[in-house]
Amino acid sequence: MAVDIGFILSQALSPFNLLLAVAGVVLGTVIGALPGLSATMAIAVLVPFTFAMEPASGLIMLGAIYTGAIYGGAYAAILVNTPGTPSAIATTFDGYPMAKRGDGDLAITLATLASVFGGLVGAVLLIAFAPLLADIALAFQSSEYFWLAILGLTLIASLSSGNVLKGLIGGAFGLTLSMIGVAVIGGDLRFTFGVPALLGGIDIVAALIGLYCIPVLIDMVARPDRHLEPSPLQRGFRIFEALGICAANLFNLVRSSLIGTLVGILPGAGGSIASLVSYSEARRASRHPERFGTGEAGGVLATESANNATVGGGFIPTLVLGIPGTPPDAVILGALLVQGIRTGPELFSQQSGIVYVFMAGLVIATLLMLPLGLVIGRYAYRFIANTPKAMLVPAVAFMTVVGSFAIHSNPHDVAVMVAIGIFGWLIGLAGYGPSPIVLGLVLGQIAEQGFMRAYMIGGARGNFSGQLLLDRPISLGIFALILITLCVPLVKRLRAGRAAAGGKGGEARP
Amino acid sequence: MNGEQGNRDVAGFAGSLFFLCTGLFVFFESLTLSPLAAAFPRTIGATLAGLALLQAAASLTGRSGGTMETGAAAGRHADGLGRKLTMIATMVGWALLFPLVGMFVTSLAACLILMATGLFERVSRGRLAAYLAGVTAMVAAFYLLMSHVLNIPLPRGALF
Repeated sequence: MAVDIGFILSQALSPFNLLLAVAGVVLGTVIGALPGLSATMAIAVLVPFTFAMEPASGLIMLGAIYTGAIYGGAYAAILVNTPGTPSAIATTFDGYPMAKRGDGDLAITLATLASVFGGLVGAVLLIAFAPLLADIALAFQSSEYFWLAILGLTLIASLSSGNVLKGLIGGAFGLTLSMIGVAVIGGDLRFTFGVPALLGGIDIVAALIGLYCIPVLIDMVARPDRHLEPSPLQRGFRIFEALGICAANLFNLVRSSLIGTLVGILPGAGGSIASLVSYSEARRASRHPERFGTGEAGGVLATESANNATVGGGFIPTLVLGIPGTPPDAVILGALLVQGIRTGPELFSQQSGIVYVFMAGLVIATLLMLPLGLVIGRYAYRFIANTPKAMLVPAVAFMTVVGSFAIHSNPHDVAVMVAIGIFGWLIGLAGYGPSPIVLGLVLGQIAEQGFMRAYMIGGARGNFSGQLLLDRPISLGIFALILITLCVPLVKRLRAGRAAAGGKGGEARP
Repeated sequence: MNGEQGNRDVAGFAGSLFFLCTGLFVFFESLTLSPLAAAFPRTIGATLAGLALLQAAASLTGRSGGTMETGAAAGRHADGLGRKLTMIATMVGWALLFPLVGMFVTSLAACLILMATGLFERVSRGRLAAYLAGVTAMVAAFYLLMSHVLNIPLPRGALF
């Protein structure tokens, strides 16, 4: 397959396309940072404008918005403890504690560098191995998707250090919330209590905004201290400090980016699982796992490199198989079809020119994130850190209301957001965190579809458990990972208990 | 209010009871559904109830832990109860009234209440005027952005 690299670069680097990429990254970053305004919405709103453009230009702009929006999710996660997108959930674990102690500028710079690194790895793998990697998406069947969703939930439960059980309960409750509405298979109405507004189920973004934003707001008005500590010195972008940390975490960055790309390939799994798996791996491999969750730079690097790597990974099934991995991929797939581009295995041979220009545009947009993200991030941190609570509280509250209304232009989403938010605050008092619930809600439909398909296939064969567990090696592998994820904290706790008991026994001896 | 009394996690126990009831409700409600729609809720309901039962036992025997997440919800519960309740009441009122009264008016009123809730010390008249102007400008700017740029049909209600 001959590819004219000169032609591709000249197309992608034309001044007009560069301008579109800059505008796309800035728009995407700002929109991704606002809770409720998602990459999908930004792309969907702007798709009609791209129809009047050359196909390559339009696609470059859409790709840039998508890349920027995934990155922008980190801002809200770090500065307001609210993930702008589900893929930034794990970024709150260490990003917000860093900002809280006055290292928000460093956290933003690290998130920017990690996002660029992950985005580049994902884009390069997309360019180099797209058809080959698409086979991975095809290798996953219904039972694997079920186990993958359960793996995501057990991972986040195991990250709730000190209480895996509460994490698992939160995950199971999230799965329960995902069942509200019309059943995925069977079509029954479930748990709607006769309320018409619940027929469509609970919107993930409304729940995400409620569970994260409302407790933050309630906490903000309770105490007079600053929301974030401003940086004590004028330390600029802290780029060299961040580069040093990146160099020390190079293996973490590479591993997380590869995980992000591979998980991103799986339709529906996306950034939330990728960032959690990467975070979990980073913590497991760290010499100081106890620092994770208290503002450890390695945690921010792992999650942000992974979730931006899913952008390139997600385009692999979209372009090669015509199966969109995420909602933004679906919108971009629609734009591709309108432009007369037919996705599928022949795409790379028959319309390679435009596809490679699009991919090159993705690389350029990712690179543009570095200067643009650093500048936007620096001012965003200063702005949030220096804004008095009397202004910050109404601003965040207004964005939560407008953002959740904007999802479907439906007032019920706002009511659901507020109700779930207050519920999240109440169960927070009992030590239940929001992340397992949100992830359960995100993964609920994937889990149920996978479970039910395996149930039906297994039922037809008269061997449900065999179909679900034993038929396929990938299922077995993921199941083994789930067991390891659940057992390792238990074993550690037992060992620690024994060591403590041994110590006490030793002290007691004369 | 964290509920730690001695080694017992009372708040954790109350939370476990809620999840236990939810799990049992989901399980028994699934008995009224068709077999295909019931299989997953039945499994998850039973799992939730089982896990909650274990957690309830752990909470009572002092083997319950906290969570890793350092967000707003964990800890620091006793401070500013009045402000917290004001915030909750404002958000609930906002969510219920904006389709009836109108997005702009409700949002402006709610934001002004929240601005007052976020004030912890006496401020000069000039600063107060600046805050009021800032909040009004923010609401107006976002309203225009949503309704005119993003073409989201914001409810106009009885007022605006």
